[in-house]
Amino acid sequence: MYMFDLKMTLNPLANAKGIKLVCELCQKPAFIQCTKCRVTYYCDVEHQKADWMGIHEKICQSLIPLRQAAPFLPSEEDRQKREKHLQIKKRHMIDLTRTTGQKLLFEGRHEQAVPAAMQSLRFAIDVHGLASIELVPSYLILGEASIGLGRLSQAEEYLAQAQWTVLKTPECSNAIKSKLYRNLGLLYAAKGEYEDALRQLADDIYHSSEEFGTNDIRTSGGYFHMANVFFRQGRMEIADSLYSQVTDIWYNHLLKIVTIRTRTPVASTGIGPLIMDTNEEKEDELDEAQEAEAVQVLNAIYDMREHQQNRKPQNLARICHALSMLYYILLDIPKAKEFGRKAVVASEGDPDDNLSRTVVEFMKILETQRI
Amino acid sequence: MDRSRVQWNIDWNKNEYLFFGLLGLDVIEGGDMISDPDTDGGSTILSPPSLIWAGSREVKTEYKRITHNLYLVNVRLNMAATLPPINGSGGGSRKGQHVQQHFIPAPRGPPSGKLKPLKKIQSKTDRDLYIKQEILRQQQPELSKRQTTSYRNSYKHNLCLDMLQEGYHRSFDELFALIKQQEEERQQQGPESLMWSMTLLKDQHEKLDMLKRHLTLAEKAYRAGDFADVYRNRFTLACYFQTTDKWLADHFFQTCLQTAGEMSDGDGKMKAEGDIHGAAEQFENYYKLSTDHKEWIQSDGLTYNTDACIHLCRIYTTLARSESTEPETTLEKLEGEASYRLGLAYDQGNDGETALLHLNNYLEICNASSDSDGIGKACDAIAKAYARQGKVNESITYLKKFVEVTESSGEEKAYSKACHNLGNIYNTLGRYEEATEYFSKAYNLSRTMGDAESISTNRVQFGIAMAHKMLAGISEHVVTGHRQAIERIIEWKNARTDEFDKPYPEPIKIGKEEIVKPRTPTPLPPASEKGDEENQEQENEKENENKNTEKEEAAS
Repeated sequence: MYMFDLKMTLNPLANAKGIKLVCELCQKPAFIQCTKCRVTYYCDVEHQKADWMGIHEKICQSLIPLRQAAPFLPSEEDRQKREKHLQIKKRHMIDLTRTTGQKLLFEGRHEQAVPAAMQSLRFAIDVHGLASIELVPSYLILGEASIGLGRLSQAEEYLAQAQWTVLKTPECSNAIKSKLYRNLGLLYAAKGEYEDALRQLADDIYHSSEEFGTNDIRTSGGYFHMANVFFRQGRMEIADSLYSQVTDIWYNHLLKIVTIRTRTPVASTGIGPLIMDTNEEKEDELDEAQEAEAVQVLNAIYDMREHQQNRKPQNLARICHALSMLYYILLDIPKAKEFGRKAVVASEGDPDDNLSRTVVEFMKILETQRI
Repeated sequence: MDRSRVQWNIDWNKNEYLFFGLLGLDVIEGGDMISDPDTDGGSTILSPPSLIWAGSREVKTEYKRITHNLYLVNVRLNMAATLPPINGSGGGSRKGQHVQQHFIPAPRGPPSGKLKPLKKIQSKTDRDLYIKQEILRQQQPELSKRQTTSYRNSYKHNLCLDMLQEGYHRSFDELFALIKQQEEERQQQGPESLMWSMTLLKDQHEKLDMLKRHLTLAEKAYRAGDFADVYRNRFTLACYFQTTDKWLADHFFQTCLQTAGEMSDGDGKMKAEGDIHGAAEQFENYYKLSTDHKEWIQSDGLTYNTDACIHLCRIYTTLARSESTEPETTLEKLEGEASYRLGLAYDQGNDGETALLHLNNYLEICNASSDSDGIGKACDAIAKAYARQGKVNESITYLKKFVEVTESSGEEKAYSKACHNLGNIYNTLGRYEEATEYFSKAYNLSRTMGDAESISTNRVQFGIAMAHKMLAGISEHVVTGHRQAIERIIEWKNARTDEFDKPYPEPIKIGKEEIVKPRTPTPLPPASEKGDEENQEQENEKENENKNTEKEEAAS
């Protein structure tokens, strides 16, 4: 691609005395240099490519002021001003790299998330020091990426570091703790230590409930992973009950969004499509990461339900309806219709009228949508 | 080998370790060697183990020669570095900085096999102490991760974790919600309230344990579809909390009721019925409690009493329906009782329409079972409800019915009460004729019963009604004002015999002498010369006096 023509070869022997240039990813002696920023070095093209895909593309230019030698500033005031400016920039970089990493993780691209997480960790260390709680989110991303890549011992090291920091910081928020325990739970589950995994996930649910309440979509992740562990243990009853809890949480949340959305046009007919659109944007309560999570979780439950031997029709109908609503919110109307139809079929033999009625109503709304 | 003494002075997160020893002179700092000029470079590399472990990066070393072979080395370490600082980003300038070999992730072990951790205990006593400590430590059982966390977390936290780990997420949900509910309530009431100083549920370990045990059992049973067991567990909880925490008891009774409802749909109908009986008993208790404490008010203004009545009614109707195959009068009675209570409760809660609905239901049931006592009660309550709504005519019809029923059944107390109520209503309507009639009945009845309280109240009421009644006749005489009339008035004043109202029927029945005869010794001025108005005034005064004396009598 584009940039790989722009690499510049270095010879370590030609470095100025006392300077060792090292690779951005592996910290080995560097042989090439990024020609766009000229402050980043790599041991080979592979690493340059990986870094570029993961994060460097986004931060290439922003790195220049951060890594360049300080200009000569005669007054103390100027120096302090520059220092302050750099701090702000670094903080911004932490945010940027972290969200990038998170997004890549949700998309399942663990390999690419690693460079971004590393970058964010470095900036965080630079700004907050080594023992700060601010480093934990970066450790968690690294840990999750490592679990995703199957490097369990590495993941454990990162998570242990994060846990130690959390332990040393009593005032740490419940949200961070919940995330930490979720990752630990995933780690143990990946290792096959199910009891430990359950313990950690229980901790996750507890902290998350403290922060958001027991029936929040942010808590549902813990329930979902826990259900998976029980599923793998073969304790189907519990898994089933947990899966239906997760479905219920998502179902109610999505239903709320959908009702708000479908009500808006009724109130504002005649005002014009522009205003309607802005209203809808405001009421959207799912952010990018949550959307990705919803798609992943609900599809997984759907697959599970479909292959279940003695499934109850209302469970299937419910998950189908939830998926249909989700795709409606994501503006994927054909898929929404497909799941809506499945929901109708599943709820036909069901004694619970309420559900089937809402499903049919929802289908009507779908029919009026332009594709 | 030339040996020099080096004094190590390490500042490791403010903990100081002092090392003394005969050492070689090379110190690792940032991966580079610093060699003493006086010795040959190739001597032993020594370093405290922690220094190496830290990755030797965040180290600041001061190296001072004190004597020929004594060196003071001050080392300051930061927390263990797991990742390197970014090159050139720290101080801006990259020149002159040490660019090091980094390992990700750190920490790693010592970089070379040459390094040996140094642990030298100088004196024998020190060594003994150390060994003793080691032995003690080995005797202690090793703590697992769970043990340490359970030590660290709160009791409630551990309890929740245990529940979740076993997969009882519904129980966790419920318990968590309950605890939160209490906390919120407490927050709402503010620091001045009683609740503020109460021990919260989350700090009462015994109760938490109880809750956990039964909730998990209930959830287990629920999963297995054994609703009877679910019911039993919830019921135990409700009983457990009945004396101490009313709100918890209430919560569990309600869930009991829900479970009972679910059960009656399923197969275990017979069992369900038995359990409903249990529930009914419990609600009876609840009802009794709440009647003792009428001042307990729920948040929405509903009294617990009303709440209890509603629950009771629900249960009784379910009972009656579930056993309708075998028509038992007792059950009907129960249902009637329930609707009566419910009606009263609604009436108290100012919902007259619903109250009437339930009371009429009760009346029907009583009619069907020809329960005269019940009919009377129903009529009374209905009449009261109507009166409250301002529908006097309906009220009168029901009261009349009440009177009839009680008359025929011969229940004197109820009869007297009925007459009294009816008299009251007529009195307020201004129909003194009927009022006196019923009051006199009531008065007589209470006299025969000998109930002092009712005698006095009835006496007063009777007097008032009579006074009202006579007032019309007197004022008419005064207004007409001819001689005969005035004479009659004077006569009445003297003798208190009702002679001047010939056109009117004699109102005085038994007991009249006691009431109407004035005991007032006030001498009356000659009335004939006075003007009409004055006369009337006096008459009014008289009337008032009359009333007052009657009241005094009654009071005495």
